[in-house]
Amino acid sequence: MEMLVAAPYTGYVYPNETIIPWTLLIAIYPYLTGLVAGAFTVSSMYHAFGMERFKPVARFALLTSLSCMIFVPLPLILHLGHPERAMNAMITPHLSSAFAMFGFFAAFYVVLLALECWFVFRADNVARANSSTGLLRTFYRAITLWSDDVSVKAREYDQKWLMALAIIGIPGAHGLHGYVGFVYGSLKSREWWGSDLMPVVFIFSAIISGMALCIVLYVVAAKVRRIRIDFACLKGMAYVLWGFMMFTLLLEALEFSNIVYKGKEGIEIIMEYVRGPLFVRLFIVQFGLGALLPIGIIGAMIARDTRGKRFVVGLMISSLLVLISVFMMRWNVVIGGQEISKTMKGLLTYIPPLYGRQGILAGTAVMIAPFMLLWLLTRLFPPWGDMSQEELK
Amino acid sequence: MTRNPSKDKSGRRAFLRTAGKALAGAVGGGALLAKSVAQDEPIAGDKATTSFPTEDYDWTKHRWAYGIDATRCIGCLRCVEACKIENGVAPDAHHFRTWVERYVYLEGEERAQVDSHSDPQNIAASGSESEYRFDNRYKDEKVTKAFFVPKMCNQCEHPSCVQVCPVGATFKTEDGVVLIDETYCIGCEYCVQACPYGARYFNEETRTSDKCNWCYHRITKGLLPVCVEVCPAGARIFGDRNDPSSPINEFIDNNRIHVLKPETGNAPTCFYVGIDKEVS
Amino acid sequence: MPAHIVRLLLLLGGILILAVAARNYVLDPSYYQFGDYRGDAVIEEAAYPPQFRGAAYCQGCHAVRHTEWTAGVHRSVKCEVCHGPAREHPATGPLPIPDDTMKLCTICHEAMPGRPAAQPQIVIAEHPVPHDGALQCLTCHNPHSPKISGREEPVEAQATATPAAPAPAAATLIPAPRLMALTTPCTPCHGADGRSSAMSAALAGSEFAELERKLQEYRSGALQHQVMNAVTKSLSDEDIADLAEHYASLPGGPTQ
Repeated sequence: MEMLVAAPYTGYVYPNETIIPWTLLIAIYPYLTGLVAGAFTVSSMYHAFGMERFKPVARFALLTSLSCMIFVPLPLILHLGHPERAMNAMITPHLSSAFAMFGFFAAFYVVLLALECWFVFRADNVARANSSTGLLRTFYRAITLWSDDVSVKAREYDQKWLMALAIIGIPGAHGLHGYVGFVYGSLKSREWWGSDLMPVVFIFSAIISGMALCIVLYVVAAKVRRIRIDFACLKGMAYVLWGFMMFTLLLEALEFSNIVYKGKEGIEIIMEYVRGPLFVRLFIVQFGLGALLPIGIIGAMIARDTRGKRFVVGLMISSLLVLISVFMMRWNVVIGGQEISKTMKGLLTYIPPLYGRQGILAGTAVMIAPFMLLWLLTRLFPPWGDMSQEELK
Repeated sequence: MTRNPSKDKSGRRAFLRTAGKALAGAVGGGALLAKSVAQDEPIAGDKATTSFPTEDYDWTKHRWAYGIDATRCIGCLRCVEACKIENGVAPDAHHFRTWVERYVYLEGEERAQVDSHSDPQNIAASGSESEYRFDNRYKDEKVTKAFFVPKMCNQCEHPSCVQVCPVGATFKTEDGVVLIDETYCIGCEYCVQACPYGARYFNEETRTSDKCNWCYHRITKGLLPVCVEVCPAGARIFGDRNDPSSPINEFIDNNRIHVLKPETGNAPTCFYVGIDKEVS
Repeated sequence: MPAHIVRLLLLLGGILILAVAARNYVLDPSYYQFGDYRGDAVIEEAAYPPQFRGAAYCQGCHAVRHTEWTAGVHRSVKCEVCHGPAREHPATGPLPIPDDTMKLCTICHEAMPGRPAAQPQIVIAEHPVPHDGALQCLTCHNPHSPKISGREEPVEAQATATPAAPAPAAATLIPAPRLMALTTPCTPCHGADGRSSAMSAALAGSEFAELERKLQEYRSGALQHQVMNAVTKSLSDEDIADLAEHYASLPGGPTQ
């Protein structure tokens, strides 16, 4: 059925290592949870911290977070040897396992996210229920649990819930993604992974990826809908992205230099790897084009007080670079860790297949799916501004 | 103080309606929960008082351990072949419950050349991926020191793999073996990543993780693991630490013992004699 | 509390109850019996049938071979290493008998850096004499008792034969050291007394002329025999004459 692809290698590797266990799907998965955490952070800046500046993008960011979250289990299910047994992790969770705890975190978080969306869009859904007919009306009625109470008292309750959810959601989102970092950082079998900094690096790179995504989607949506971009909102996001990017770069550089400085046994093979197959992926793409360049671009634009179209273009380029860079970071950690043999005497090369459950095509589909869902959600639950401003079409 | 009687009536009715619904829900939910909790007794539950896991074998009475004398290994790989046959391991170069490494120090070199039977040159020498043989590539070289090291699952006291399994599909038994429940494993391969020794692999047939289990199905019947059984050179020793006359106790007591990667804290129960600094 | 909040809480509560109930329903009864795993898994693992049965199992039917084997130096090489796992044998038919012994035996006995000195090792192309190609080990070695220390006899003959007579004094004038060197390759198969066994021809008492001719034909390749071609390749005419004279002078006739 599935072709067994053995990884070519140099030096000496354990015989069992020649089949690389965690594939590109497992690099995509932390990328998706990262987008979830980052988009939620953008949304929380308005919903939890009350920063009015980010109101234009807040509901859209929430839907983005939800769309990505719904598809987070998909790469895992595709990778598992027995996806039909996946619920075993919730039926009999082994509490010492990061995966098992992650299952509960994820379940808790998807409910939280859905609830927050429910509260945010409730008033609009009630309005849409009243103004729709047929199947759509049934849909909106069901979604609002057959309640059309939008009185002041009800809305107060909603606000309280929303605030609570948003506040709980922040550690929830970061715990969700921090656990993914912990999955790697807690292992002592691979020096490339085992680091105390790993959860922190994952969280911060998640935040910047989510923010960059929100920027890109906000600009794209504005273009598609032919409305004016709220410049204050965009610049606000640029500031936050810029700040977090610098800190993320610092963390990633710190983690890498820690390995080099300590120079533990096996450092020769790590340096051979870094100078060889990893050089372009790490230094050129992840650190250079993906971090230093966007930091420079945004910094320059802020310093020169760039505005208007030039600002949008510069920010878009930077955001796209960040999105690529964070994906590369996930790839470099997940795949890179497996390309360095546990013997510390050899290197393997992961060659992703094109077809198959864990191939490039499947991975691309997994990456596209959340955005298709997002499109659908923006149709059903338009996040653009208040209902009073929007024409009810 | 006057109350509006009609308001009182409707309030009480509303209250009773809600209370009735809540009670019904609670009873229904509780019944559902209670039914789900009342299960049949576990099959093995009855056996908790008798010998477990079989009538002739009581796992509380044994403490298994393994010894490897790398000074005796001749690199014939009969153990590798026998293990694959006994345990139905895929007959290719990528899935091994046990394997052998060759370390060769050439004259003038500080580091050893290391290879295993999965090396393409050795596969060519054996004829196919399902036959196992080391080639003789060093026969014309100046070799200062060379030896073979058999490897397998170390059945650690503090196994990394057990720690990370999300579903409890891998676990340590009372008699000291780390087993895999292949009907419960979800195939996430976290354990494969966590093992510092590369002992675990993904079994494509069962679609679960797999590894050496000291031929649990043999040792619970009074037999030896098949690798120990077939080794012609006496390089593999197996026995019960609770049995004073067992060869493993003699091996441990009369030798300076090493374990692989002690810095992990995993505390392997495979004990090595005759390895050197390059072996990890 | 507003109605929608109540309904929401009921919905969430209901889902939670359903989830817990479903979990308890599918939970394996033997789980948590001894720890965080299915207790039945241990029973299942222990129940697998062994494929390799061990030498004691083989002894049941192959007692004579077993005795020969335990008496020899190959007693550490279990039957199933060469013949494969017994499994349900004999019910499923005979086990394979390896034919390419050069491939099989050299897996252990090829001289290789890394093999401890205690392991008997040979340089394949030079054992027992330089040869080019596949010289099957079975030609000279009994795989169940392979050490060659003198005369090779099949086990059945050993059980009934009288103890081997000492090598008779040669009635020739060839110096003893030279004789020793010449006959060393011959003795394992033909016996010290040249009276041989079922494995090889009897030489003792044969005609000188015939022995000489045979050796010459083996050397030239006119007669084809793996071992004979190999051992005669480097013999000179004088060597052949001396060998023929020696064996011709020995008291004749095969032992059986």
